[in-house]
Amino acid sequence: MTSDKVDIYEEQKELVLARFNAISPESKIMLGGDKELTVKDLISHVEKGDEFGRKIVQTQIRMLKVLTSNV
Amino acid sequence: MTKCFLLTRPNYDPATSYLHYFAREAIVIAKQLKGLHVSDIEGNKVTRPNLEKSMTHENPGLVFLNGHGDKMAIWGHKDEVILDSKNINLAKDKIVYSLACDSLAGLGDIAVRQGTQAYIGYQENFMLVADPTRHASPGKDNNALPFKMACTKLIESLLTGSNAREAIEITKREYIRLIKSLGTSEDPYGDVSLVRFALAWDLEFLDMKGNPEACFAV
Repeated sequence: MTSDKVDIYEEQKELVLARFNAISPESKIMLGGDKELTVKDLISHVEKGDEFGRKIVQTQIRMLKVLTSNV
Repeated sequence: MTKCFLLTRPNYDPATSYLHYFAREAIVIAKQLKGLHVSDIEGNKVTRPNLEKSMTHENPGLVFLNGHGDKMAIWGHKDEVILDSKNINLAKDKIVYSLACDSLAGLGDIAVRQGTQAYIGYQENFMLVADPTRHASPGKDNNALPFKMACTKLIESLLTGSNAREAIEITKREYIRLIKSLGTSEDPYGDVSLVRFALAWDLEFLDMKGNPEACFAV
């Protein structure tokens, strides 16, 4: 990633973490593959910056665009 | 000739109990359509032999698979593998909708190469937010309701003549509508943010392989 893209991604990541930190950490999501995730797990993936964490950030940002758009 | 709609609905843990309940709506819709036979394999009958028998003898044009799985397989009752690369050839010429594992990129790919018209599913595991106090009664779970609405919209679109691409577009618009319409006024536990996120995840990763014009017209 270029440094501009890294900066944008880091800002997006902070925004996403702030949003997840406002939710009870033990709140759960059921997954279709027979797993469960807590908000704490989501935060951990975002903080680690692993592939799943990056998809979480991508999805949250997409959701914010949906909320603020006229789509 | 009577067309056939086949669905599998295992029901052995909280997640499958929700999907089992969600898919009931699809049965109601399907039974209202003339000239359509509905084959509902549910509970402990969701086994590999039963699925194979139905796919072979009833020759459904549309197959709706609910339950767990992974990239390369769909599971039935108590995680028995019911559909994988060894029997996916049974889905030749059919439209398959898989909810809720991430089988699209793996099994979906193989399915289309072996003649499945269209395979609709998710690139990542489907996410569902439930109210833990309502696990025994999914019908009373307001957190799960938007997920039920989106899933029903897709299968309803396929049953009533939309092609695969149209059904996905209609469903994505429904996800967007649901994300925007969730309010925060009565949200004492802060679940709405998580529900929105999970809906956005499902919106992001819903996709298909195969022929976008594939259509199950009754």
